[in-house]
Amino acid sequence: MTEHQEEQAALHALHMLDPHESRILESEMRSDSRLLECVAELEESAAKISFLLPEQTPPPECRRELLTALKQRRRANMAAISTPLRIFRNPWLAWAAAAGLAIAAVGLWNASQSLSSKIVSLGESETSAKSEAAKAREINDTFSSSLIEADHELAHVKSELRAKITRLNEAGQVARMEAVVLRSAIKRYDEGVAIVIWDSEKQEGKLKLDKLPPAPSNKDYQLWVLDKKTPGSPISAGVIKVDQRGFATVTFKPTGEISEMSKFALSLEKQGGVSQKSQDGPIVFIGP
Amino acid sequence: MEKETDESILKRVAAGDDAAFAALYDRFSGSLYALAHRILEDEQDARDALQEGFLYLWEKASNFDPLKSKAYTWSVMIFRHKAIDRLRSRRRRLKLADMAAHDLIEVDRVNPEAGDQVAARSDDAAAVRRAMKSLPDEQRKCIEWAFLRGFTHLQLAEFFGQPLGTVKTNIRRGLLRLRDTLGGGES
Repeated sequence: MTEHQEEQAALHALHMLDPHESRILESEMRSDSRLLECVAELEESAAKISFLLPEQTPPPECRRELLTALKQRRRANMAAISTPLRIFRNPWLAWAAAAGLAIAAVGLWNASQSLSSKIVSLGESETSAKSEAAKAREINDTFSSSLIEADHELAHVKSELRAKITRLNEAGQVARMEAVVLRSAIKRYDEGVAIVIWDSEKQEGKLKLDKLPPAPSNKDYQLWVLDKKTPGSPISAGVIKVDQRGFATVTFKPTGEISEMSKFALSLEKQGGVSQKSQDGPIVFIGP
Repeated sequence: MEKETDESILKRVAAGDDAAFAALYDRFSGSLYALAHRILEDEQDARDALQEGFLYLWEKASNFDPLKSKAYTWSVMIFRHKAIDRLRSRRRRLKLADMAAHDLIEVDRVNPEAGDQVAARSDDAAAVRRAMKSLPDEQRKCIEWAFLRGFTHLQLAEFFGQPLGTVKTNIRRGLLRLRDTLGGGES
């Protein structure tokens, strides 16, 4: 008995198979005593679930109605049998009936022979159908295992593809980034370092400052981005505060859209910064 | 005097014995009516199923083979099929989503039955209750909803949101375990 047959046996015990599946199982049960036994055991187990329901006495009239229905049914059957019997009280008719019965018996014997040969032929068809079903199951099993393998392979390819996409994305991100070193022509800022990493697609960047002199009182450093299309109107990228070592790492986003970055500039502006670049604030770093 | 077995009564029913039929009704109707009532959840439907089932039993009693099953099992399977067929034709109008997936059988509840006839049945019930409680939830629910609601494996898969293969496996494993726990069909 296969696992599939065991499964069908369980479904059969719970009346879950469709008529076609039931016919196949019943045909298999005829030639497999273990399967037959399994179905009987599972049906027995399923039937026992009914023990969990408390008994409920049906209304008394149910019994009366049922026994009346049974009597009516028996009377109808008796009437169906006794009416033709009354006819046979006439001897001529009885003889004629006997002759008719003899002819019918010969006819039935012939029909029985024909049916026997048909049963043999059906038995052969059944055997052939069973072997076809077994082959189909084998094909199905093979197909299922191939499908599982294909699923694993697909999962593997997918994960590789995902890793490649991640690497490509990272490479793309790096490709569109631009590193700019800002320089200063002012002696006081000789030791200072100002580097900008600019991502044109995200329209944002990172500024790293080191060893900058502290901003004078009432002043703040402010970062500016110059667009090639509007070189005369720098766009503010925010006020930059440095610590006592003159160090700062800041992520910035300019206040306006930069179509093509040409330069970054760091200037000293009045405290809190200004919205538009004025002539008053000296540029301390610029690049590239 | 030794009590006549269910199988012997059914054999007499097969021979057309009215008294045996009445005795079989008296012996089984409480369980079978409870089952039909639980499945159909409607008193009139349960009464109709009871009458239909017993008349079918009268006509097919000669098909019963005591070597293949017990008389009670055979009767339960017939009544359950009749009730489930009735329920399935009625349920075509209902949507699965309208039903809540609660437990159909309270496995912790003890049936309030008493008397000689029910003493043995109470023992059987206690054994079945223990066996059902020992099943993993997903197996027990699949079996309950299939047994008492007549759900097909496709409907169970949709209802519990599980793959069809999982539902079939749950039913197979659950019923096999139930069989093994209940001692291979011997109560």
